[in-house]
Order: sequence, then C-alpha cells, then structure tokens
Amino acid sequence: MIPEIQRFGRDFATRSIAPRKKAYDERVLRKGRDEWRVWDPKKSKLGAAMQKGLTDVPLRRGMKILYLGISTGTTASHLSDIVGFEGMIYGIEFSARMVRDLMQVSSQRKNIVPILADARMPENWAQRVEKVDLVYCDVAQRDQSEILMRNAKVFLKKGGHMMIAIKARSIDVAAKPRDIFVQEKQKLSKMFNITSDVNLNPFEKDHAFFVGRMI
Amino acid sequence: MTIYVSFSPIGVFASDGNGRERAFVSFPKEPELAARAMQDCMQPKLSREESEIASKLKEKDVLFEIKKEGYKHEFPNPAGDALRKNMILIAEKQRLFKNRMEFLSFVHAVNFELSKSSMQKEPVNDKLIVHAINALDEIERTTNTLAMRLREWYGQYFPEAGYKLSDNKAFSEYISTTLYRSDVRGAEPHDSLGSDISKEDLEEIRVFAKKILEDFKAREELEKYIEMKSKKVCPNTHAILGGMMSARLLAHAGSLERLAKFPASTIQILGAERAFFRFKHGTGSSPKHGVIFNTRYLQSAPRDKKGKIARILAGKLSIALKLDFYGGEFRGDSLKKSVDSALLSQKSSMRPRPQGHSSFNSAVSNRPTSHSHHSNHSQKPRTSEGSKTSGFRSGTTHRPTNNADTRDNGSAFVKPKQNVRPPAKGRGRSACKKRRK
Ligand SMILES: C[S@@+](CC[C@H](N)C(=O)[O-])C[C@H]1O[C@@H](n2cnc3c(N)ncnc32)[C@H](O)[C@@H]1O
Repeated sequence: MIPEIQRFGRDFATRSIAPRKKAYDERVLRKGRDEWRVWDPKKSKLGAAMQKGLTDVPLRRGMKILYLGISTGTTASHLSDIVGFEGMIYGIEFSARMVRDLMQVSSQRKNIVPILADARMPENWAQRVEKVDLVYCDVAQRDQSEILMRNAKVFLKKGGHMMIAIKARSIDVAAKPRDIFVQEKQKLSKMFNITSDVNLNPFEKDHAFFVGRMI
Repeated sequence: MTIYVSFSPIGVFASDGNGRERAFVSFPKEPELAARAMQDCMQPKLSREESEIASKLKEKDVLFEIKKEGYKHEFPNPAGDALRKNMILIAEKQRLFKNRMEFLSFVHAVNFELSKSSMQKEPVNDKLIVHAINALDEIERTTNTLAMRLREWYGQYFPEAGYKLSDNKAFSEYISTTLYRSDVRGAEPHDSLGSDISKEDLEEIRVFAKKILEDFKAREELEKYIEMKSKKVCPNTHAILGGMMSARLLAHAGSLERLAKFPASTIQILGAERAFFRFKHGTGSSPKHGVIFNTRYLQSAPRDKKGKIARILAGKLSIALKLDFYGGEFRGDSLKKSVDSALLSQKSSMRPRPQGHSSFNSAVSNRPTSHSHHSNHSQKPRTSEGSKTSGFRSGTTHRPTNNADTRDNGSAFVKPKQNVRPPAKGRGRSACKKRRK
C-alpha cells in the first residue's frame, strides 16, 4: 500500500507522530524507537475498509485533507500520522461535544485543524482553510453525497481524490442498502471516477466505502 | 472592472477575476490577534483590514465572498479561490513565515483560537437541562435499587416496618430517625419476625438510610431546578408541557436548536423512534405518540382521537420551540389554550360507542394511579434472599408509570397483543461513538 501504513499480523497500524499520546483507546506496538498505533476497524470506517481489502488508498506524506464529519478524530488521528507535520487535515464537525474531544487530539497533533461548523455551509468557514488533495466525507446524513460534491467543488484541487462512507440507514431506513449504494454511486459518478467500493460488513452494518478521483 | 476580496488566516486579499493579486493586507502575526481580525472579517461590517484594502483600490465595483453591508458578495469568488489555492505562496511573497512548517503551525493556531472562541459561545443552558433530567433519571434508578437493599437489610431486624411503609422515601426517613423497634409507637418489639441485632449493626443501617434520604432530597431539588430552568430557557414550550416534559423533549433531541428545527411530525414521534422504525420496515403500526403521549393532553384524550390530538399538540409545540429558540415573544398561554380547546372539542365530538367506550374506561381505571416515582416497587432486589421474601410486596408491585407497556394497553393504536416496548431513549440518531447527553 504505502510505507506509512504497515501490517502487523492482521492489524494495520500507522507510525505515531505523537508518541505516548493516545488519540482514542487504540493499541500501541513498540518497534525500536517507533510507536505504531493499531488502526481499529471497529472504530474507523477507513480501517474497516482496509480490513475488507481496500488497497486503493490515495494518501501520502505532506498531503492536505478536508475531513467532513471528523467527530472526535479517531480516523483522523491515523490520517494525521500518515500526512505528517508537512501535511494538514482540516476537520469540520458541527457537534460541539465532539469538537471538545477533537481539540484535545488536535493540541497533540498540530496537523489537525478543528473547525466547529456545518459541512453543509462552506460559505461560513471557507476562509479558514486551503484547497486540499483529498476530501474525506463521513457525515452520516441523508444528503452526504451532495455535501461531499459541494465541498469538493470549492476545495478539491484538480485531479484530487475523495473518500466517502455511505451509511444506508441515514439515507433511507426502509430501502435496500444495495439499492442505496448504487444510487449514491451514480450521483457521485457525475463528479468522480469511483475507483473502489467496499462493503464494510461486518465491521459496520449497511455501510459502503467509496474511493474516487475528481474527473 | 470588478475586484474580488476575500480573507484567510494570513490576511485580506484582493484580486481580479482571474485571481491575480491586486492588493494584500496582512493580519497580525500573533495567532490570537489574527483570529480576532478574522472574526471581524466574518461580520457584515467592514473590518479594519478590509477598509484598508478598499481604500487601496481605485475600482468602485468590489465584490466580497461573504455578506458585507453596502457590497455585493459571491461564494466562492476568484479572490477566495486564489487565496485558498496559493496561500503559502502569497505568504512567502509577503515574507510572513520562515518556512512551510511555520506557516502550517500558524494556520493551526489561528483556527484553534477561532474554534475555542466558538466553543465558549456555544449555548449551554439547554444542555444543562438535558444533563439535569438525565441525572434525575439516573438517581431515580439508583435510589430505587438502594432502597430495595435497605428494605432487605432492615428486614432482618424488623420486616413489619417494611410492609407498613411502602413508600421508599418514608421508609428511609423512618430508619434514619426512629430505627429501633422499641421506639415505634404501638409496636410490640417481641412480636416481630425479625431477629435481634446489635445497636452497632443497626447504626450501620442508619448511615445507609441517611444516604438514600439525601438522594431523595437531591431528586426533589433537581425537579425544582428543571422546572425553574426550563421556564427560563423555553418559556413557550414550558407553558404547554410543563418543565419535566419540556426537559424530556430536549433530552431526546440533545439541544434546543435541534428540537426547534425538527418538523412537527418528528416532535410527535420523539421517544417512539423504535416503533417508528418498525413501522417504516412494515412490521408495526404507525406510532401515534412518543414523549408527548405522557402528557395530560394525550392521557385524557378519547382513544380514537389520540392521534389527532397528538398531531395538534406537536404542531403547537413546534411553534413554541421555534419561538423559544429564535428568541421570539411569549405566546405560550395562547398556544396552550388552543391545544386545550382542541382537546375539548374532540372530547365533546366523541361518538357514543358503547363497547369501545367502556373498554377505554376500564383501561384507564386499571392503569396504575400513582404518578409519582416515590413509590416505585417494580424493581426486585438483586439478591438471592430477594426471591424468598419478595412475595410480601407482590400486592403493591406495579410497573413504573412511565413505562410504555402499561400506557399503551387499551390504546386504539396498538394492535391487539402487539407488544410495544418502551421507546428507545434518544437512540434514534447517528451511530457515532462518544455521543453523550
Ligand atoms: C459517523 S461520525 C464520523 C466518525 C469519524 N469519521 C471517524 O471515523 O472517526 C459522523 C459525524 O459527522 C458529524 N456531522 C453530521 N452532519 C454534519 C454536518 N452537516 N456538518 C458537520 N458535521 C456533521 C456528526 O456530528 C458526527 O460526529
């Protein structure tokens, strides 16, 4: 995959840029002077996607990421290990309770920028961020594909990438998850080449994870 | 020619339609000051730096990226796009930072300051109510458990007192004050089935009883606090529902803002999400009421009109909540009156239906009458002795009154035999971890 992500047995892990500081209750492996933080697939959808065989991971050191729905920074902490201090993660989260915990993580990882704001209204916070190489979207909202596309239009660099977790239940509780995934894929295909899609079962019920590149 | 203006953590930037720089005014280099300058730029009035830029430009046609008094705006605009794309290059040109790392940590620090100040401005009063009502429920659960333990414990000595005093608070009060069989007026100490135990052992029970009594007092304090607080925070809603029910609605939504933005149909089913999802999956009947079913409006509505009353009530609540959230006037009294009169007219238009009617009545009269939680005996002690002795209280055993099981029996909206579980408490939302109320 990429050197910043390593396998230890079944687990994936990232080399911590903030040794001895946990971002959540992840397991930590010590190898020589390095600390590798195990990526918990039950707590991170990207972690789950990799466990389900996703290898198409367009992440590299020094890259900039816009993270919609960053929550308390569980997944973002691994992205933060990967992009390193030359990179940056702009995290949008509208729940103050989540941002409270996120700011704790962000003060130990200066490449995570916490922004208490609504991902639906980029006009309110656009001036705080830069253009990015990747938009990661995990807002668990009915209109999450639209939210991703609206933000990608403003913030994603030409040829940039996207990752999105689709939660079927937050789009329609009654419809078949598979139908929803197809429908969301179609929507997103207007703007992106979807290069991978994985189902997150059994780590997350009725979730899909897409990776794509802006056309 | 139109000139575009936007800003960023490093300063205010003006460009032509292609994003080519026309002017730049930098913010202070201290993150706190830069954050303050950004906050000024987010206001509709021109900030100091923005006025400075405007004075540097010959052109009159200036377009901002966010709303500015006396100017047009467009989001995103070419200046904003250029700034977000080339922020570090622009900073380099201005020699603002030594290197990329310094730039990045500046951007981090400014944003951190901005988020800190928006956190501090987050409304908190509604959250305090949510914590208080959740604390109340939690104390209620634990005091009941502790009181059961007290009954078992003291029952070793004087079980008869337990039969007499079925109210947990009164029982704890009796033990913290009287305690000794010999001090009970009219009691024949030697008639008790209990064993004689030492003073030392008894005094230990008193300590425990006092602790429980404290919890009962805390409960009452919390109730008063919730009443008072919700009258202040959401006066319109309070006028219709009273403090406790208003607080429960808030707790289900998590905040006044969320609640105020829900459509009336969501307010109507709050607290009945599980039934609602069953309905959506086609495996249950449509829920007619959630939290608001426990209100007196719905309790006294004729059963075939409950759905209608619930809709009307939810509609008025939706108005009240919007008034409360957006700081509107007080119209609680008239809103309440319209729910009352809707209820009244529904009652008087009730068709005489001999069978249905009588079963409705019996459903009402069979319902536990106690509305207080002070005499809740439904919980069995989690002990092995519990099973031996619990029989003596079976006469008073009933389910808590806020249990949907009891409530929904006899309602026209529940299919016969269909078991309606108590509504999930505020679990209808995203599966994200760490969300606490
Ligand atoms: C499923 S959680 C994200 C978990 C996170 N991605 C992780 O793996 O660590 C979804 C988050 O999106 C947030 N969210 C939902 N809608 C949002 C919006 N419109 N703007 C910003 N955040 C939003 C929620 O508050 C929640 O914290």
